[in-house]
Amino acid sequence: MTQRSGGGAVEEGAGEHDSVPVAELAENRPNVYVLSSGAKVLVFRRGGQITAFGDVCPHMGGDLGEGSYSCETGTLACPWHGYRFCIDDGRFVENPNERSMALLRVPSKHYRPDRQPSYRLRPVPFAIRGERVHFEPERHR
Amino acid sequence: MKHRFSLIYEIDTTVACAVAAYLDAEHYAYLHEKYSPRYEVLSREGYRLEVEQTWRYAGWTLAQTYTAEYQPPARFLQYDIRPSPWWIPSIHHVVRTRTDLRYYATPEGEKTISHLEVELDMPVWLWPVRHVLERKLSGLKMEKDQEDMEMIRRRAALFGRGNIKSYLADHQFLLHKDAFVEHFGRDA
Repeated sequence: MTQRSGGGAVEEGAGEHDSVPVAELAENRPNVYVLSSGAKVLVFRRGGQITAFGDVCPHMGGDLGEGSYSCETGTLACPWHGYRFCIDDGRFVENPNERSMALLRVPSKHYRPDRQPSYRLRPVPFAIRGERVHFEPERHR
Repeated sequence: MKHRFSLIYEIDTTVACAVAAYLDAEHYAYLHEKYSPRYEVLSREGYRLEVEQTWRYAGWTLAQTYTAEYQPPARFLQYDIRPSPWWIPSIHHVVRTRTDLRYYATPEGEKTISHLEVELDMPVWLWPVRHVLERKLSGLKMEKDQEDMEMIRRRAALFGRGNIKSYLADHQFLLHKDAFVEHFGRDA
C-alpha cells in the first residue's frame, strides 16, 4: 500500500489485507491511500469515528482525493463540480450550483431536476484489529 | 484597429464529449476555480446568456459581464465583454474582444479540432502590445483546456471513451440541454 497524502509512512505490498496504523490517520482531513489492488481509498478520522470511501465522485467521476474538505461541516467537496458529501455516512449534502444557476434550472424536455438520484459516496469496507485499520481486498474496487 | 488570431489544435475526444463538457457549466467555478472562481447567469434569451464571471489575474480578482451565445451543435460565441461594475479599471474599457469557438471532428472522425478565432478591437496606442495580449489569451485558453482534458481523460478511463451518459441523464443540468440532445441524440 502506498500513502499518497496525509502524512506518514509509505508501505508497499501489504499482502492479503491492506492496512494502516490508526495512529497514522490525521484528524479532520482526508487520508488518501492507494491500496495494493490499485484502488484509491479516502480515510477520515473525525472524533472517535473512522470512515473510508472510494475516490470516485458518484456524480461525474471526479477525483475526490483532490477535493476540498471542511472540518466545520465534516463534508468533502468534489473538485470538478463542487458537489458536497458528508464524510460520516457518505450521503450527498449539497450541489452549490443550484443557487448560482437557479435562473436556468427550469424543467424542460430533456432536463428533469425532480429526478435527482440519491448520490452517495461508495463506502470501502474495513475492520479495526489491534491498532490497525484493515481494508478488505477486492470488494473496494 | 482590429487584431485577429486563431488558436487551433486537436483534442483527444469526440465532438459530443467536447461540447457536453463545454455546456456543463456546473464545473466552471470549481474545476477552473484557479482562474475563474465565480460564474453566474444574469439573464437568458434563447441561446444567448448574459453572464457575470470573475477572473483571477496577477493577484487581482475582477468581474466582467459578457454575452455567451450557443449556435448548435458545436459553436460558441462570446462578445460584449464589459467590466463589472462598469466603473472599475479594466482593459475592456479600451479593447473590444470577440471570440468564436468551434468544435469539429478530425477527418478520421475519432478526435476533435478546437478552433478558436479571436478579434481584439483596440486603440492605436495599444497596437504595439497586441501580441502580448494574444499570448496571454492563448495561454489561458490552453491551460483551461488542459484542465478539461484531464477531466475528460479520467472519465474515459472510468466509463469509456466518449461516454457522455451522465451528461444526458434526466436530472443532469447542462446549458441549452434540449438543443444539445436534439443534435447529438441520446446515444451520443
